[in-house]
Amino acid sequence: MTRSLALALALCFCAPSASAFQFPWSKDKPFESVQELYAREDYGEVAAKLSEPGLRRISRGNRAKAYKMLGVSLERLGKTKEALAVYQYAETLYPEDLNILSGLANLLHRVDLDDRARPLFERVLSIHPNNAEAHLGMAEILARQGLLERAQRHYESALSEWNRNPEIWRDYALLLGQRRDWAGAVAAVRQALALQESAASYEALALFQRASGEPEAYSSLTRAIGMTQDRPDMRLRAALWLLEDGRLDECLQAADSLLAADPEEPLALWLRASVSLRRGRFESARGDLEKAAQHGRRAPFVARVSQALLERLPR
Amino acid sequence: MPSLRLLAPLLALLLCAPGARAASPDALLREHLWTEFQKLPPSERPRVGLALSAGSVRGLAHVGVIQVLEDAGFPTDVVAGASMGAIVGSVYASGQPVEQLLRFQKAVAAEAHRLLSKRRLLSLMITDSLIPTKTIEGVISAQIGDIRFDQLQKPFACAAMDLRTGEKIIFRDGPVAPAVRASASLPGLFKPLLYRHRYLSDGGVVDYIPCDLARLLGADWVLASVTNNDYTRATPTSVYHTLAQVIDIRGALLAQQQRKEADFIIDVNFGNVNFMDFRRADEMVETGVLAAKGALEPARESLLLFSVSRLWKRWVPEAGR
Repeated sequence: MTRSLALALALCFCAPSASAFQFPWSKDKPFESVQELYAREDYGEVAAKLSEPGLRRISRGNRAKAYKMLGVSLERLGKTKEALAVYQYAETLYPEDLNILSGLANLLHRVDLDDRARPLFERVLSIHPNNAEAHLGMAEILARQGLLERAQRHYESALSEWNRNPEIWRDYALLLGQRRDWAGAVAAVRQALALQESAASYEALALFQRASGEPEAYSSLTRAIGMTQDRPDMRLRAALWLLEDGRLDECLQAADSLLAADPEEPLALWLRASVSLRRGRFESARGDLEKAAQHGRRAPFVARVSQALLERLPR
Repeated sequence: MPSLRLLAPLLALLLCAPGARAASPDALLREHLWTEFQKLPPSERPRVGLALSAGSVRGLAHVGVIQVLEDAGFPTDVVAGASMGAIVGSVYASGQPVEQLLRFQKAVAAEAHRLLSKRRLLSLMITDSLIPTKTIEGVISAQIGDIRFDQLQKPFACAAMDLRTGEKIIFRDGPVAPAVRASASLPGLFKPLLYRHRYLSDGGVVDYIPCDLARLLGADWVLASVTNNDYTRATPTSVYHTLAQVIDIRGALLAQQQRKEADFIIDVNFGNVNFMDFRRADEMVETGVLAAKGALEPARESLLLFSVSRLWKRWVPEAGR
């Protein structure tokens, strides 16, 4: 008995990372101090404390968590490459650790390396089928890749856990919209709006209402515009809807207002030309189309359509 | 089927998720013009053709391409196919929804896998007799029934090659299933089909991307879904793989010529996929989805630019007179 205890103790103290050895009843002070810094969002300090020697001072039982905290901290500090290296190394050490796998998968997903992120999320789900984070990651990747039906299932799984997150509800609504489930999309975006009002959600609502032929679409879009100052694209979309609905005076007014802010806005020029065309004012249309056609770098498609229309204008 | 009007905002969603980022002027104009395009009566808008290339198992990627086009409300008025493109195209032209097409793809893969089993291939070598394809016809008939071309919901055509004369034989009337079977009779493996006094083999040999057939059916603008295999990465050692390599090279050379006939091409690129590996069928479909998703907006732009003259008539009423 005494001999085996002595052997065990000897093994513990001779292990390569003997400094990190902890008895189960002892506290891991280095880890606790890092945890405190992490809770205070002092990511610079966390990264400094968890440098190579710092990590060795953390007990083995907490080291996977420490790697995760280091990865997150580096990400928050904008050091994506370093964070990736940390996660990748940690994954080789802890291939079954959900936090490490999720951290790596999320980072890869954020930097658009979806092909590499997807198998990692799948691995997380094979270990923990109800992991909401992995379901959300899968949903976003599959939606981006066009695999809509499967994306929908993952969104629903993520929402069963995180049903108080308005952004997930909105993304889910957008997916339903892509699947042409307008009623479902409206219901989901209303859920997002009930949790938090935002310009993005009102814009999504406007799109679904427009798709369903509901007259409230324009007022929802106007509401979205009222909630944000830096989205001229919403104002352009509203002007395009006015053109589609034949409200030419209002469309012209909207285009003029956009051009007052940015005289070279190619789509606003195109809009004004379109109103002129419909009114048979070909010379006015020509001027705007010529200008819009010159914006091949800023808006190549607008420029090409403008050029195509110019070629049809009677001399 | 929801009204065309409903589809336009959907495309806006595909382009630019609100909240994620601002929509570009190009994306907004595409959305708007697409709405306008869809308001055109069918007689006034360009007739859109879908040409589905040959490609054996790789041709199942067309199912993924069709799925994306359907989800996006992209119109297809006529369909043409060669070999596996003919199998997929015939079912699509019959009006079956994408869900059915996905189920059909699994049935085709299972049947092809059975036909091309090692035991079958061994017996092919020993007995020097090609594999009969009656069951392929059965799978098609089971899916769409014993119907004729004129009973399909969309005009459809497929091609086969007369092994005696080397002629391209075009099918666009009569029963669908035997014509498709002839079009998909892979040379060297499947038994050619004696049909209408012709001894018919795979259409992919003479018409890899059947844009010409789509035009024959009246298409003004043709979207081709083309499966490309990187055969340079293979070093064939067996009889079948050498044969497959020759078929791939021949197909690629023909495709080089025929690509010019398409108005827009969705290239579905595979690294190197053995043309007989039907266990990878689901992966092929997914590759098709990814390729089509990436090509969707450029395809819409191409079609919209082609349609400017028709839209002009709508916007400038005097121009139509």
